[in-house]
Amino acid sequence: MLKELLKRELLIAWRRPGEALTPVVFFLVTSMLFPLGLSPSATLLRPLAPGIIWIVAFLAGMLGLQRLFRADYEDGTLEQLLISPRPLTLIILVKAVGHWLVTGLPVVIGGGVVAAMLFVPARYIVTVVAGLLLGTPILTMLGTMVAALTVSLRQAAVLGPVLILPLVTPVLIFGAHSTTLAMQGQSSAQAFEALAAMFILSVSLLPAAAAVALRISHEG
Amino acid sequence: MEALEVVERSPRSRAPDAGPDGLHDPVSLSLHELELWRGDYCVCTDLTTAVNSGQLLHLRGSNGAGKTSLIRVLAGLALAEDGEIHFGGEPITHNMTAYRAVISYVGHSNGIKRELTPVENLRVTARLALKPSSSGPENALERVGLAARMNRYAGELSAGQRRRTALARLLVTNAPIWFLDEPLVSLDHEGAGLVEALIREHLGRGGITVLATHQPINLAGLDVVPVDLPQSSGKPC
Repeated sequence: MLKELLKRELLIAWRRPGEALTPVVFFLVTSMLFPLGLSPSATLLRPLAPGIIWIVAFLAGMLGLQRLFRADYEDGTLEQLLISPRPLTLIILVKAVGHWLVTGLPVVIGGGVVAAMLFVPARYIVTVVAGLLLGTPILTMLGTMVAALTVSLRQAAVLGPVLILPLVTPVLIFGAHSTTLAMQGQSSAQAFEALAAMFILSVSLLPAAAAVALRISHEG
Repeated sequence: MEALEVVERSPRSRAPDAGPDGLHDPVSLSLHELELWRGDYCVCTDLTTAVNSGQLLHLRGSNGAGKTSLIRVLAGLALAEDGEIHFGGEPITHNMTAYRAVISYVGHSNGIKRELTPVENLRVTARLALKPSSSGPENALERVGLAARMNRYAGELSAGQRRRTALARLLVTNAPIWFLDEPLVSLDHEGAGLVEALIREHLGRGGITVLATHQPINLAGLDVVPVDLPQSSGKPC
C-alpha cells in the first residue's frame, strides 16, 4: 500500500514537472541574487552563507507545501484517503516523504552548489549538505502539519507561513549554526544532535498530529 | 421542526446476478435520532431509520436540503450534532477502521487524479482497500465502459468518463456499503442506465446503497427506504 501510494505521488510530480521543480529553481535563483545584491566579495558572503542557504531553503520549501493536500482536497482524492481503512498517519507520512523527495532532496543537492557559489570552503560543503539533509525533512513535516490544518481555508496561503514561522525558528537556528560553527573551527556536533533530535521527533510525532488536524479541518 | 417523512417501503427484491466476488456478508446500517445542522440551518432532527443487506437508503430533497451533508455524515466524513450511526448494531465511532473497511464513497468530486490514468488511479484505490475485488481495476473499467480509455490520462477524458472511473472505484473496493452522492452527474442516458445496473447488482449481492440524488432514477423493484429531507427553510433547529 505504502509503495503504491509513494509511486502515485512521484508519478504525479513527474507529470507536473513545473510544479515539482519550482522550489529548487527558486532556491537556486534566489541564492544567486545575493552576490548580485550585496557584493560578490568572499569576505562578505562567506560568513552570511549558512544563514542565506537556510532561509532560502525554508522559503523554497514553503512554495509547494500548500499544494500538498490542497490538490487532493479540490479533486476529491482527500476524501478517499480519509475514508480509507488504512492508518491516515502512515498515508500522510508517505505523502510527506514523496513531497520531500521531489522538492526537498533537490534543494539538499542544490545546497552544495549554492554553498560553493557563496564561497563556503570546499571542506565545509559536506557540512552544509548534511545539515540540509537532516533539516529539510523537519521543515517538510512541520509544513505538512500546517498544510493539514489549513487545507480547507481560503486564506491558507497567508495563514500557513504565519503559523509555521515560530515552529521552524529552532530548525533555522541550529541548521545555520551547524555550518557557522564548523567554519569558525568549533565543533558543530551539538547543533547536529539538536537537528537529529528534531528530525526524530518530527518524523515520529507530526504525521499523527497532521492526521488529526486533517480530519478536524476537513470535518469543519 | 418539521418531522422527516419516511414513506412506505417497496417490496424487497434481489437481482439474480451475484457478481464476480460473490455475496457480501449480511450488513446493517441504522441511524438513531440523528440531528444535523448545516451552519444555522437544520437539515434533520430525530432521524431514525435502518437499512439491511439488499436495501437502498434513498435520500431525497431539493437543492440545499442537505443531502450531501447527511451522506457525508453517514460516510464518516463529517460529524452530526447529535444522534448515532450504527453499523452491525454498534456505533460506528467505536471502530471507525472496521466501518471504513466496508464503505465506498462517490461524492460530488470524482476523487480522480487527472495526471494518472484510470488504471493507475484504481490501483491506488485497490491498495487502500482491505479486501479489494479479485477481478482488478482493468475488469472494473471494462464494466463501466472504459476499456478503450483505461490507459489515457484522466485529464484527457470527458467529465462523464471521469465519473465512470469514479464509479469503477466501487467495484474495485468490493465494499458492501456504497455511498453515492449525485452519481448521475455528467453521465449520459447510457451512463445513468449503468448506475442503475450497478446498484441492482450490488443490492443483489447483499450490499447496501445509500443514494442521494434529485435526478430521476429507475429504482423499480428494489427495496427502497426513502428519507425525504424537508425544503431548506433557513430556520435554525
